[in-house]
Amino acid sequence: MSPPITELKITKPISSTNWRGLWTLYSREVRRFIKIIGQTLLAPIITTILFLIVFVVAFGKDRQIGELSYTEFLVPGLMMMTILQNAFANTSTSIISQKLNENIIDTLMPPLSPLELVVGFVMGGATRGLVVAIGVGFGLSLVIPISINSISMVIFHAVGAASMMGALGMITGIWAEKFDHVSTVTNFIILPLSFLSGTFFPITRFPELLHNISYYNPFFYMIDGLRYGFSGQSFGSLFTGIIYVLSINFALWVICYWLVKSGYKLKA
Amino acid sequence: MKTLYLREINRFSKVYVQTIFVPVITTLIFLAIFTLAIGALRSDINGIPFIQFLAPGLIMMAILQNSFANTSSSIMGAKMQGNIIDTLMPPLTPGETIFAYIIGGATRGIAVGIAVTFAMFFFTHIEIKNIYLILFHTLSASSMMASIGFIGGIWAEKNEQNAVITGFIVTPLTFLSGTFYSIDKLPELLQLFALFNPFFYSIDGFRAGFIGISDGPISQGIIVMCLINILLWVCCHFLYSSGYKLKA
Repeated sequence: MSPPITELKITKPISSTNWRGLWTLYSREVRRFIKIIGQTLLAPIITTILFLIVFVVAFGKDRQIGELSYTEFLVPGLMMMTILQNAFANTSTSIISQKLNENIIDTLMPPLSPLELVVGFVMGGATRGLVVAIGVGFGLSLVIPISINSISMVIFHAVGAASMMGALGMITGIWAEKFDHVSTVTNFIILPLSFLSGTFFPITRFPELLHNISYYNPFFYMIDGLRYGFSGQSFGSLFTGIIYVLSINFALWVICYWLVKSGYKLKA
Repeated sequence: MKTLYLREINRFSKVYVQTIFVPVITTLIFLAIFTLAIGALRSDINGIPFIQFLAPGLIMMAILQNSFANTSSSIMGAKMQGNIIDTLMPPLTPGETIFAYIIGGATRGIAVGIAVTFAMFFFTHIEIKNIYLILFHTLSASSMMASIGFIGGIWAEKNEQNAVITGFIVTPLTFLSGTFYSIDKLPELLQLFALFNPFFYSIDGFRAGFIGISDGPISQGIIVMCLINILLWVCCHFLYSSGYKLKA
């Protein structure tokens, strides 16, 4: 016998955080990508290792960039690239496919506040970015010795980047009306930026104009900051990087919150 | 047969941003990265400036990946939506269906290849040394990849399996077959392996058509490509007429 319905009482005021709901949303987001682990985890790891091989073979092992060997330079860049791409992919595809399948209502209906929704989605995306990056780092460490210079910089930039891209993916997913829109943003904005922000070569190689623009590119600071965390060498200002990552995260979270709250393209 | 071919063409021209522009942009980004990262500092490869060595490899890479993507995703898509029956029912012999699918895939590969080539004209100097070699390798490579895509599409049961073939077989082979570097930079063992790798012959022969220099023997490449195409077409024919994973 189940207890009569009158025994169910609301023990907490409705305004407090719905931890269980938040946890459920988060774990659904995580399970979504774990289920297709071949595509979401193994494929990016293979791709990254391929990039490493191709660049190291094409470049020659003994080239130096600053005081770093080329592999020391490249590995943090590749890890950051995976974080950026995968955190973005998770939230954007999750939201757009729920919109297309018309089951987004099942996520909007439960008693979750806009902020809780944003936290659940963004953290799910960030988790994917970080899990893939750890996988990549682990895979690469079998081939190349990886040392850590400043663990707090590594964590700060990895988490900062993952959260930023999760939020950006969420905004894209909300804005997009078709899968095409999401892949357009991925292919024309995310990929070029993550490729051309000092992942594979120092930005000093750029022509003057692009070089100067790069100092406004948040991707550059995140890649550079992560590289500093591993190798102790940076090519831009670390302080600017930290401020930049914090303020962009803040701005994107506010936009996410505002979009979810207003129901823009989510509610009829 | 013409109808099936046209449908295949329509399918990808409808989403031309994704099927033509995206590969062009991606290829240009690769060109930019490699030229910036390596270009100026890197000595020439076999007397050829690095960028001219790289450009044909990238064009071929675009051809290979897109021919594969077209047939595999077309068949997979039709299977998932359950409308493959509309393609199987009409009075087409297996030979005709396969021909139309593969030519459709090859067309996409070649269309992307041409677009990429045009785009590269703005950034580098491209000259043609031997047009026949270029034509031969364009056709044979796109037809080879389209038939592999055909087989992949028939075999795969979920989109994920298709992505696995792309991610674990097609991309690695295109990346590691001398697109970005001359294979004599590889360790001995891998060099030997390259001589059994049809992707290597495609890229190498295609590049020879542009720059006049090849890593491997050209005539051997032509023979390998002809053989592998025949083999793959026979496989397609066999799979298709047996109805494997296509008919209930």
